[in-house]
Amino acid sequence: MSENNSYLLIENRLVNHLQPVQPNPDFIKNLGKRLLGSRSIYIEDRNNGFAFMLLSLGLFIGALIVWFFRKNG
Amino acid sequence: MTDQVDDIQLIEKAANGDNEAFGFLYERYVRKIYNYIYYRTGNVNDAEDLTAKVFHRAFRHIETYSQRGVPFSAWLYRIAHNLVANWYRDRSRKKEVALDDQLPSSFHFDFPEFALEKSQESERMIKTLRKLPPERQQLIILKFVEGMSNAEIGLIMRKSEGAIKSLYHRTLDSLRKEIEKLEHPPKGKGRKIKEDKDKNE
Repeated sequence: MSENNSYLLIENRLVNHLQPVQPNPDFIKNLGKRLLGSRSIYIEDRNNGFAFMLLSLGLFIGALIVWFFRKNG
Repeated sequence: MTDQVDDIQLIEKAANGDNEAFGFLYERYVRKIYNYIYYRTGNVNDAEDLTAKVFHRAFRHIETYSQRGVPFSAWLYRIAHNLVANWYRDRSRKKEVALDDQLPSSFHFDFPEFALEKSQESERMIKTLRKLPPERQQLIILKFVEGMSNAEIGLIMRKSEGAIKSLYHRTLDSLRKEIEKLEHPPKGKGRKIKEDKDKNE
């Protein structure tokens, strides 16, 4: 058998046996729902400016308390 | 070409937060991506799991797509290919064996004997295919399951059309050798099995 013929035979077998499959319709439907619903879940970004202000305020009050006790102690 | 134009419009809308546009893209490609992953992994559960991951990743990174200069489908197939590669790597670490090596539903026929014969042959073919290196499996699946041209496959696999053609011939050659090995095992081995059988009797 020539090489071309053997390639043709393999190609025919591949055509016959590698056919598209149908995924479960429920899976397709549910995944679509999950995907398109996921953007409506809003993940709140951390507000760095607010955190910095809070930290500064805490440090300032802390320093003020230390200064107050030292002054009176 | 119309699909391509449509894709671009839908991607732009999806990147601007239009969920419905992404929904159209999802409906257009989910079955193709599922098929690709199904034939690479050989089982329904992993195919569903990985298909979900592909679309979650595409959904999260849709804004980055436009800069890549490849069709949207090619981008999805590349994501799928990478996820399948990771899946194989993790699987080889865990040494797991797929339990549900099911055959596609389209292999079921009305004539039981023909169906059995055909499904056994299909199983052999798929097993032979999985013995090939990942790149060659990808090429065969894209060509025969997805019905793509060499040029389209080239875009996905980042190779020229000529390189795909040449890889295709080498792949057919390896498949032919594997099938021959499977269907006509070396005579020595067959004789040994027969001798063992005679001994037992």
